[in-house]
Amino acid sequence: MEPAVKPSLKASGPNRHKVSTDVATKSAEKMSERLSVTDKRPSSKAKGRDAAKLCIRKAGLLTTVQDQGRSHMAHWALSRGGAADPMAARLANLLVGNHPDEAVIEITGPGPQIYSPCDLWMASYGAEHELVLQELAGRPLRKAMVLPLHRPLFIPAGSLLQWRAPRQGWRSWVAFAGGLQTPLVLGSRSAHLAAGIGGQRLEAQDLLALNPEVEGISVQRALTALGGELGQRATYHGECAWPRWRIASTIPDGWPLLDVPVIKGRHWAALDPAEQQALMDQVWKVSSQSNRQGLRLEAHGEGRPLNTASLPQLASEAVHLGTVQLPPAGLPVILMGEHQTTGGYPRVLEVASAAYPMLSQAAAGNFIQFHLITLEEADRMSYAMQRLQIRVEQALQAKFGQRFHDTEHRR
Amino acid sequence: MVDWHDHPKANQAARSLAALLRQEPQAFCDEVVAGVRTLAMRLPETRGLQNPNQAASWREQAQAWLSEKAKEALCWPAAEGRLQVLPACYEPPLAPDLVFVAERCGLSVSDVIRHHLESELVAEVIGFMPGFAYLGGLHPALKLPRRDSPRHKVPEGSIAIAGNQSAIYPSSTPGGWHLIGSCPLRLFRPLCDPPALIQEGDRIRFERISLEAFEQQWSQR
Repeated sequence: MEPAVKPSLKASGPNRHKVSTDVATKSAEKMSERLSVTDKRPSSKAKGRDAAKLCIRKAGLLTTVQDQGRSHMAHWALSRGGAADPMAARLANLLVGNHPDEAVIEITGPGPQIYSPCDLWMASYGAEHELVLQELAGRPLRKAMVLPLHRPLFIPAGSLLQWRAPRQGWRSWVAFAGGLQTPLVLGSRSAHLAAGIGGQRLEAQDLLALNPEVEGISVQRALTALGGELGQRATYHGECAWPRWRIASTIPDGWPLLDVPVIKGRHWAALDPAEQQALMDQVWKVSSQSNRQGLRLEAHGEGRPLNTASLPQLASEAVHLGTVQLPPAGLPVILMGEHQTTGGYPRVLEVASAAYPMLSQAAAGNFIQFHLITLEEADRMSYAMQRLQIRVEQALQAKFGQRFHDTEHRR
Repeated sequence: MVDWHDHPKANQAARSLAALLRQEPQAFCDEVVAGVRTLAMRLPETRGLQNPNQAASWREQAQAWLSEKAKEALCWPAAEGRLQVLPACYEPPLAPDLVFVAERCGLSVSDVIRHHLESELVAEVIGFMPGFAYLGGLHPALKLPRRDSPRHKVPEGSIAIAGNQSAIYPSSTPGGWHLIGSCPLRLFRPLCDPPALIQEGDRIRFERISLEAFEQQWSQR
């Protein structure tokens, strides 16, 4: 029942969203589903100091608060960091009617268990995490309920949510209406783990501040998006509810084998031709040593580490997200959002920017194969991806009758 | 990207061009990073693409701008960096490699300290981690390759040397340089403006302090 409009990006490589951009086309009432769990609203509103705070019951593998990161700080040796897929974090926000720059929770692999004392209008977007409701209105459910992803959800106060290991992909971004209000450091709420700036990884018992008006905002947006009857029932009786439309996940085609488009890097030519061949032909395996700073690759099957004898010794130079470094051990490293800003290893490839989102879904044990494209092809891909992203963003904003501009400053 | 290779003024040119680009932002440049002898520019984010040829046209403009300025920059007079005198404590508990460095350089420990104090250092590159500055201009008598195997954990504040550079580690991290002392100041303060104590182009000199003074300043940071 997924809608029709599938923008065709196929020819040019990573088909990022596979997004169904129909969001504005059908009426919410007609498509709504509901999940009735209780007939009457329990003494609903949470009171007291922690009323508008999420409680992390279990942390999951790596759960952090992220937004669009800290740009323009490279001259202080601070890379942008932020959500591993900033565009997915934008969409997660837009799904719940937030400004796209609001902070979200980034979930990596097996996810957290989170309790909310208040009504939420939220969305989990990105990987195919299994999201289950374990308690409702503060009472355990006999059978945990699986909640749908990639769309907004109304979750009543007293709910306990668990993100289980993803069936596909690796990271999801969870947005809450009104946004998270953890402290701003250098203009961002992102945890930059490599630099030790902003928050840290979340731990059990951590409390995360939501917008103090979260309940009002959530109810209002749920009523708007779900329409009269369903919205009333959900918000008045405390039922989970969601619209039937959704946008497509960000799982790259072919996952867990990622076909990563690259252009030649600055030191490509210095690499021995036989090694160039091996770098491109081999299927690389993502090592468990990978993190938000970089994806370390290891040889797999017939593969082997590369001979780097022909590569030059370098004085430190700028490196960037998507740079593929080749250290002396001969195993490539793809730099991720929390990369160092300068590095001394030869840079043999650069990942096309249109493929950055794909990298954020690469888990340890996944496979990566590079394929060379020209600079012109890379330009075309990034333009096509950006057009698609903007179309989806506009459709989502239209859905909630909103209009956010890139220049708008929210803080 | 520009590479001035082994030109003696390469780093100075890189820093002056980077400063110019930050002062007079250009539409085709989102961010600029000076390396030891290179300058790298990054195009604006894909979000700003107005048409399919936008990236190519930014690249052309950037290259035209760079090829014109790269030569010029070598002739610009060196900007006089701000001089900062930073406290340094060379007492044994804070300087695990001092004796090793002295032996390898064929010097006495006090000579190593004296040469380090006499070095007129310049913050050539800001990189590696927030607050970290590669300080060029180390006294030639102290030139040593890095450690054979890096330490898993270098204590915060450590003053280190390797090659013709010195540095201070802003926070605890793995590192392969030789540790000859410690600085009690905080090098990166996210809540201050500017957050980094050392800026690109700063001239740095160290001033020796006692262990007591170190401990006192450390406790006040």
